[in-house]
Amino acid sequence: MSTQSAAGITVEDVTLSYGSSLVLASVSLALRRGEVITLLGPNGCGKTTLLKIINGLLHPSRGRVCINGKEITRMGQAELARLIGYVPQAQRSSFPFSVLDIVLTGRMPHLSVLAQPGEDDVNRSLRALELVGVSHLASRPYTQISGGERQLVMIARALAQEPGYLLLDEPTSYLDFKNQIHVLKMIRGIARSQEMTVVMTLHDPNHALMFSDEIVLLRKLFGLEGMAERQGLPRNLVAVGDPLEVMTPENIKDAYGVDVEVLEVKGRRILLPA
Amino acid sequence: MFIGSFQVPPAQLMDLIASHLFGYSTSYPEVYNTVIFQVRLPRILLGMMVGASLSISGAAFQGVFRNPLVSPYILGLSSGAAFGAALSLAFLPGVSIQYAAFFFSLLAVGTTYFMATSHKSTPTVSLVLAGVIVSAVFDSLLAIIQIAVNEKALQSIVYWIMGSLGTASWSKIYSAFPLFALGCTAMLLLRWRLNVLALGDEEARSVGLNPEVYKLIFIIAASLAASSAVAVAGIIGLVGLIVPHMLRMIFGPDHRTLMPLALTFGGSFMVLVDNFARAGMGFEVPVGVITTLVGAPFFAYLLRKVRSGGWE
Repeated sequence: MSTQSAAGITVEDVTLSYGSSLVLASVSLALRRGEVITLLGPNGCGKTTLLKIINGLLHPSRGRVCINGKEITRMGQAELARLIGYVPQAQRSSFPFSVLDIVLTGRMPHLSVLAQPGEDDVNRSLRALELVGVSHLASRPYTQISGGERQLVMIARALAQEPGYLLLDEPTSYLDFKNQIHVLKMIRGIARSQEMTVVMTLHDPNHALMFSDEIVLLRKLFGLEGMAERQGLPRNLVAVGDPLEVMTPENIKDAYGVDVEVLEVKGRRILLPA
Repeated sequence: MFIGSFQVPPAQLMDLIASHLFGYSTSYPEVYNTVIFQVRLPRILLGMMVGASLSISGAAFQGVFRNPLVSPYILGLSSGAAFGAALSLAFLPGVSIQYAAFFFSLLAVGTTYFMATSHKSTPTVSLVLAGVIVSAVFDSLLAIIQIAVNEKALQSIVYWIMGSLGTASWSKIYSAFPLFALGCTAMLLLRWRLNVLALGDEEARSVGLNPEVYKLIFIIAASLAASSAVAVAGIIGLVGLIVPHMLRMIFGPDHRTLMPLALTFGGSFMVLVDNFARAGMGFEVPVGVITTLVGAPFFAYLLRKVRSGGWE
């Protein structure tokens, strides 16, 4: 507790179960301000759950989350939304709102109850669209743009919130090869230029290696039988820290149960399934 | 106002209105006065109110449910109102039909809401299902009343359910206006937040809007407006569905423009349709029948056009 610095996200002793299955068991993490942090791990390891807990969308059954030293349960929803922007995984569309109207909803935490967004909000939203490079889409219906473009629009919406932290849930999941790289580069660029802390979940270990300052490698909790084998308490965290130190064959095996070979190509590390 | 079985030429109509406004007297027969100011004017004003409230609450419900195929009646409001009206017509002559219909329509919506709420959250799919259940219960109760009553009462019940502006009066306008105005004002003031809400619960929460709170606010406001309309005019079908949808197709889905348009256009649409209802044929047809006949083909077209019914 004494090391708790003012800037950053601290997750303390967070535990959550869905029904009878334990997803997160006493997870503690300190995420420093000003980095690109990737939560990595197999399906069901709780990385999306952890992201939602940090954003207050889910409440842990035990433990707490502090942002810049303040516990999130003590914040109002608007206060939290001014600190954290969140881009969910599924890009749903209901009505054919224009892209600008969608991004404008990001201004919500900055407006009073009866206010509607004004000129200043429109300008900030347009700037957010410019940051992610899709200004030309502003007046297009959201329902008629591609999956990659929708992802960028939702990132712009989170940027319009002007938060210090940006949480992204699998920002590349519905994208093709080119768009995956494009979006990840964009995210890293924005984190640098806007001095924003990015916490995202990813599926591809190689993407995590390429685009993160820090990786949090998680594993899925096992049933009771598995726990007996492993002895002691169940643990979610495999390793946390510098990507090159975290992404070793031993750790990958521990997290995914898969053997990998590590290649060094032109100074970059690549993981290949053995 | 010059349309109808009793002919009042436009020029004389203007003169008559001017005489009221400026306080001079005219030599027209008293019956002109009665037809214009006690029959047609209240009917037009009531038509505007009913059309406006059904349309704007339809637009609000569609935003809350994120679905263009939703009407203000989805939560059992109309079934509750029909039961309340029938109860008053058949067994409680002391209780006004309007108040009975109003009370039971809100009771139905409230029951639906509480049935659908668990663990402090109210998923829209649960709301729709609870609405179906509550509607079915009130429909059955209505059927029991219809079987139990005599023919004359049955006729009034059936006529009431069909929806009509034929019984318009100043007292109905005065009694329905406050809640109509309250509901509409709330919806208009908060209308931009429907955009935020329409993107999804999680998307709303992540920008700091509590979807449960705003769902409830919009459901209350829309139900107040729609119930006060149904209570005076009976169940006028499909206006709350087609008007917002037409406007959305023409002007786009942004609730900042959609809501005021629904209010004004809905009112005009209702008056227009009511003109046909009372003067289009030799006899008066309940306006609810006409709106349904116009609305049903439109609904069918919509259903085929919007793939998967618009559900997520």
